[in-house]
Amino acid sequence: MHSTWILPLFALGLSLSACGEKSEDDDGGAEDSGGATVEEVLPACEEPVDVACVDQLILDLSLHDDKVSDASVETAVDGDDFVTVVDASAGGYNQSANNPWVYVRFTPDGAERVDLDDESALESMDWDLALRRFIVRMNGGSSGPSCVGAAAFLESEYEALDAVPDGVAFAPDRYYTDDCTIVNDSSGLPGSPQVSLGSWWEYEGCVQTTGVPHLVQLADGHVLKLRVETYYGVGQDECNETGSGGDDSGIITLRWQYVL
Amino acid sequence: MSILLTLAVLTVSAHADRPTDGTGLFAFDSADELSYVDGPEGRVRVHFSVSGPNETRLADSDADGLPDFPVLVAETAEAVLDFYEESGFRVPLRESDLGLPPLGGSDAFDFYLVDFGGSADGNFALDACVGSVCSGHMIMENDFAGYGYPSLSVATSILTSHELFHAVQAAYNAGQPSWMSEGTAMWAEWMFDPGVRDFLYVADAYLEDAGRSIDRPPAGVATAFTYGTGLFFGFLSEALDPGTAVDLQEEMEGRTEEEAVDAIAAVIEGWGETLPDTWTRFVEWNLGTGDRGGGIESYSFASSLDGPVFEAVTDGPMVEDDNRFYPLAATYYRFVHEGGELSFATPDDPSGIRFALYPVTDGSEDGPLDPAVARWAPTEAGEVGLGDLPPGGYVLLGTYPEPAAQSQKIELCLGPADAVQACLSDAAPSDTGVPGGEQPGAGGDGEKEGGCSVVGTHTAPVGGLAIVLISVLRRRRTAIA
Repeated sequence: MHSTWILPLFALGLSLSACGEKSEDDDGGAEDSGGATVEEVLPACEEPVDVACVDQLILDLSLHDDKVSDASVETAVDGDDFVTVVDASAGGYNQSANNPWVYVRFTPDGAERVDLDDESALESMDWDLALRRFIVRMNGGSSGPSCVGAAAFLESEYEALDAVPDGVAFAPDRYYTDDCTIVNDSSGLPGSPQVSLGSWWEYEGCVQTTGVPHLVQLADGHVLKLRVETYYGVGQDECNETGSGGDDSGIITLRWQYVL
Repeated sequence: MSILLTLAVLTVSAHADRPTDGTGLFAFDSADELSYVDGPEGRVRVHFSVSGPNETRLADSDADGLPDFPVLVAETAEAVLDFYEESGFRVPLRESDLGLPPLGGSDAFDFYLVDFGGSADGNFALDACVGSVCSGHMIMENDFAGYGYPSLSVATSILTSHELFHAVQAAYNAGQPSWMSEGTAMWAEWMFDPGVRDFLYVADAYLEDAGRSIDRPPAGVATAFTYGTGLFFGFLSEALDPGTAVDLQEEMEGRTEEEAVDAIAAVIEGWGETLPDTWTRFVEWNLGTGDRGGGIESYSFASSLDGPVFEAVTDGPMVEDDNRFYPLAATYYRFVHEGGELSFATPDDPSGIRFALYPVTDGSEDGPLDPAVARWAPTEAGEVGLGDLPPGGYVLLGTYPEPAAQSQKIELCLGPADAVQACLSDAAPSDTGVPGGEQPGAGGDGEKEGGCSVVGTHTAPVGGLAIVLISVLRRRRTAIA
């Protein structure tokens, strides 16, 4: 069974006091198109850093330097939320290793695809999430040169998560040891690294959504709340209830909203 | 074997469930009415359901009182076992070899025909082990209804030969890495029945991703690359000796997964070769396949393969790329040379990478390749003159032919000498991707013994010239000019 967790995120995470805090000359912020207030914040980082274990990363996650995903990334407004549907199917399970990741950037106008090949993405701060099948990486730590990090809120509902709690820390992806040995999650599925956003799903015969919300801090310091709502284009509810796989796997629906 | 038997009495673990126990992912149901048939030699027993959820094909065309399909499985499996034994492999261990009772009712190797429901088609399951030496049984699809095999006999041949080779492996070491375990099993399939195309399909999958280290398959339960590594084991059999297949199993005895490449190197050395030289030959054989075959030494089945996928194909005269050369992998480029002096250059340390250049026959842009006209193994950044070459299509092969902890990332330029100099001037040394960003040996420190042939205005790091311009080159150029 794929486990969920929160403590390791805090143990590994960046300090909120060091990044993403409101600026002293904050003038009250602005309202985004989704209706939420977006306040001016300090960036979490501004310069890319070298990604460690690139050699292993390319092979372990089958990154490509000659392919750019043209998968659809579509965002709609739903009340105060954005709802973004990402086609992360990557040609299906058996072909996914031969296809590139889909790179996504969050903006006040919605999420959009960033056209990068996988190896270029390792040197780019232009993206926030990379998705392929059930793996959702963030641009930071083991996954990229930026500093996007997340905190999981196992006991909270998405709707109730409307601010950044005091003391929360945002953990970047950390799935390589110092000697570049990959750390897989506990799903038992091969090639499934322990990414910071991993608690959105469990595997009990199919990819079941947990509904666990996350706060995700972007490089510019803004924070959004995020919940993965579906992995299957058809049949997510049945998968969640019975463990029977749905259809159109890898079509990931993200519900999100800026909270800072 | 006597040692094994002694150990078995002392340390054998409890056996795993059999499908007849009704447990496990693939098992008979309590509603199944079970029967079995023994092979003519008594080496195999096939268990099947005559009624119930896992009912097998019950047609009895020869009216011998036994359903044809289980009989086909038993006869094919015994033929496979005979073949492996005659080839010099150990036979799969029996329950009694490990001190177990006859779990299938006899000491024969047990097959169970269970409905996989399309999710898989068979697997070898372990019963018990002494260390990494294990006995087991085979679970196989009950009727292949809805599967894509061209015939029941083909499906049976593939499944029995492949999975029984896992049983053979388990008699040496059941803990082999997936790429070796599946790759050698795929080659065993081919050895048993070259008439089936299963091996060719996965071999092409390997050639589609030849730039990946052979011992680092992509993530996934059953990636085609993992199985396609069988091409390398086929190469060892055809290029060195069929006995390498047995040698490798023996060499894996007592080794860990991490020592698999060491075992391969030991086998190759046992046949008087080295891993780097043998690997270089392997990736050249791969080039001589499909539509480009004929002029380069290659497999007996070379024409049935698609050939490697190129990293880049250009109709122009220049190859420019920033590539990671992974250990035990190969990268191929195709380009069209306009004729004249051809050069190769890199601003990075290319130590360990070997290159070779192959012309398309008769100066065509694409098609069958002639043997290499140049081979070089530069050890420092710089330029390598490849000589005055006739116009036509060429293929550049680059390979890092030995185990290493990291890839070698280099920018490379190949083309007319003047253009290569411009390319080299524009190119900055690549980030190696090594944590810490150190560029091992880049720029030359005067301590290296090797070097490149440098032409033009670049300072020549003259050392041991690691380029071999093959005499054929001169003869061909003269003839065409």
